[in-house]
Amino acid sequence: MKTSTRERIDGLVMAAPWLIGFFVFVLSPTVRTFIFSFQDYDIIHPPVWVGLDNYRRLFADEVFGTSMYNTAYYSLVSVPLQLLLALFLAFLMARKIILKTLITSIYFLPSVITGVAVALIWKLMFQGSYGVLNTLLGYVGITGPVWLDSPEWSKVALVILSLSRIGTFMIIYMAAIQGVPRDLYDAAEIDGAGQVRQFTRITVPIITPAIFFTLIIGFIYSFQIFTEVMSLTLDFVGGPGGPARSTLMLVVYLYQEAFTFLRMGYAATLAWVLLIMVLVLTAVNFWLGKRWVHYER
Amino acid sequence: MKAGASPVPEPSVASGVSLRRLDLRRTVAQSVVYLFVLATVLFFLLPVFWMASTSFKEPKQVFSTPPTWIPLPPVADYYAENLGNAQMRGYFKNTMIITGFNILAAVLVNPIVAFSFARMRWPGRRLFFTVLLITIMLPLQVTLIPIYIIFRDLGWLNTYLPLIIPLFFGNPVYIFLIRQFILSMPGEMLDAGRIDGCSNYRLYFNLTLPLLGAPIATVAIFQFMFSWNDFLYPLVFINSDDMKTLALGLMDLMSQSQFTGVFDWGLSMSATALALIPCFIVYLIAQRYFIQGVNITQVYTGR
Repeated sequence: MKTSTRERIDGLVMAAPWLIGFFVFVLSPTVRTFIFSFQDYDIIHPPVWVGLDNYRRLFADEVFGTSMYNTAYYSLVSVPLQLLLALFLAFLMARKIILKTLITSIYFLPSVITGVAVALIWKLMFQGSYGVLNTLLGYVGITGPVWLDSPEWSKVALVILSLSRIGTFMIIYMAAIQGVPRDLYDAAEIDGAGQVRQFTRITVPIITPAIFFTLIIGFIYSFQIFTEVMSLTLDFVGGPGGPARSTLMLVVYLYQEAFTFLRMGYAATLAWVLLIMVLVLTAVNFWLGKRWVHYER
Repeated sequence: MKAGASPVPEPSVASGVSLRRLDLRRTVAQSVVYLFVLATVLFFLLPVFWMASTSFKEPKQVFSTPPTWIPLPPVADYYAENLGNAQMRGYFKNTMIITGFNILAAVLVNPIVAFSFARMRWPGRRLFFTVLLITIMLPLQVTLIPIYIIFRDLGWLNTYLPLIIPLFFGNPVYIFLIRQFILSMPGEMLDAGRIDGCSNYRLYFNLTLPLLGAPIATVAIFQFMFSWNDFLYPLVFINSDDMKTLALGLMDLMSQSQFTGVFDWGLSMSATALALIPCFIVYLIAQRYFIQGVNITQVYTGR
C-alpha cells in the first residue's frame, strides 16, 4: 500500500509531542551542555569562553579523581554482586515453591519503591551503635563497623543497599529462564546432571544475552547513583559525599559544582564525562544486542 | 506472563536412580532452597519492618540496646505529630498535585506517539525510533543545567511547572512499551478501518486506544511511582518550603538535625511510612503491571 501524504502528516502530528520534546528538552540542552563545557558560567554573569580550561582542570582535579574512583569502585563491586544475587533468586524461583507469587513480590518490592524515603530507612539501619544491621551481626558474634561514618565502610553500605534493588534483574532472568527449551533439561536429567549443574551448564549459558543486557544497564544506572548518597550523607560535616569524600560519586560532585558552587561550566564538563561513559556502554550494548537480543516475543 | 510455571522438570523416573534416594536428595535440596528463600525474604522485608517498628516506638526505645523489635504497646504519637504538621500536609498536597498531572500527561501523550511509531508511516520514523531508544539511556544530568536555565529564564523555578510541563512531551520508555504492545496486536482491523475510510485519528481513537488498557495502566503506575518518589528534579527546581515535595521534606527533616545534633528517627520513620503507604497500596494492587512492564521494556526507570 502506498503511503499517502495524509498519513505522513498525521503520523508526524501524532509523534509531534515527543519530536518537539526531543529537540527542546534533549538535543538542544545536550548541545548547550557541550558548549558550557568550554565556558565559565556562574548563571548570574554571562558565560565566558575559556577554551579547554575545564578539561585541563579535570585532569588536575583531585576531587574529580576521587569521585571517579568512588564511582568505579561502587559500580565494579555492586553490579556483579547484583547480577549474582538476581541470578540466584531467579534460580530459586524457577523451582516449585509454595507462595512463589508472594515471594517474588517481596523480592521485587524494593526495586519498585525507591528514592529518599527508602534510603532514609537504610540510614537508620546502618547506624553504628543502635542500628539493626549491627544488632543482627552481633547475634552471630560479629562486631559491625560504623558503616556510613567510616570512610572504609561507607561504600560497602551503598553496595548493600544496591543489593536490595535487584528485583528488576530477577524478573528479567525469570522471563529468560522460561524461554529455555524444556527438553534440554530432560536430556540433562537422563545424563544424571543435578539441578545446580543444570542451572550452571544449561540455563546460564542460554540466558547469557539477558545477563549481558543487565550488566550494561546495571553499569549505566550505577554510574548515576545520586539519591542514595544524598539521602544517606546529606547531614554529614562537609556536605553530602562524606565521610572524607568516601561516597562522593561523579553525579554528586556534578550536582555540587553546578548548584552549590554555581560552576556550571565545570559541571557541564563532568556531565560530558558521564555521557561518554554511558554512550560507550550503550554502543557496546547496541552492537552486541543486534546479534543477541530479540525484542519480539 | 505468569511466573508460575516451573521450567525445571521433575526428576524423571526413567533416570535409573532408585526412587527413594531421589526422594531423600529432593527433600534435602528443597530444605536448602527454602532456607535461602527465608533468609533473602527477611533481608528484603527488614527495611519495611524496621520502618514500621521504629515509627511506633517511644523516643527512648528508638535508641535502646538491645533494640526494641516490636514496641508494645505501639505509640502513634509520631504519626499524630506528622499529620498535625501543616508543613507536612503541604508536602503531601504538592506531591499529589505533581504526581496527578504527571500521570495525566503520561497517559494522554505516550499512547498516541507510540501509535504513530507503530502504525503510521512518515519520513524519518525509523531514524527517530533509533534516536528514541538511545535517549532512554541518556542520563538526566546531561541536560539538567540547560533545562534549569530555561526554566529559570521562564520564571518557573519554585512552581509546579518544571515538574509537570516536560511530561507532556512524552517519555521514551513508555512510548517504547506501548509501541511494542501495539505491534503485538493484529493489524487487520486497522486495514479494514482504512478501507472503510476512517481517518488516521479515528484509527487511533476508535480502533486502537480502547485496546490499550493494559499498557496504559502500566504506564500510569510506573509514572506514579516515579513522580511520587522523584528527587533530582524537585531538588533542583524547588527550594521554597511551601512548594517542596515529600522527598524534599523528608530530606529537610534530616538536614535540620544537623543543627540540633539529635536526629528524631521516630518522627522521620513515621513520615517515611506515611509517604510510602500510597506506594505500598499501588504495588499491592498493580504489581502484575510492573512485572509486565519490565518484561516488555526490560527496563524499569524507577531508580
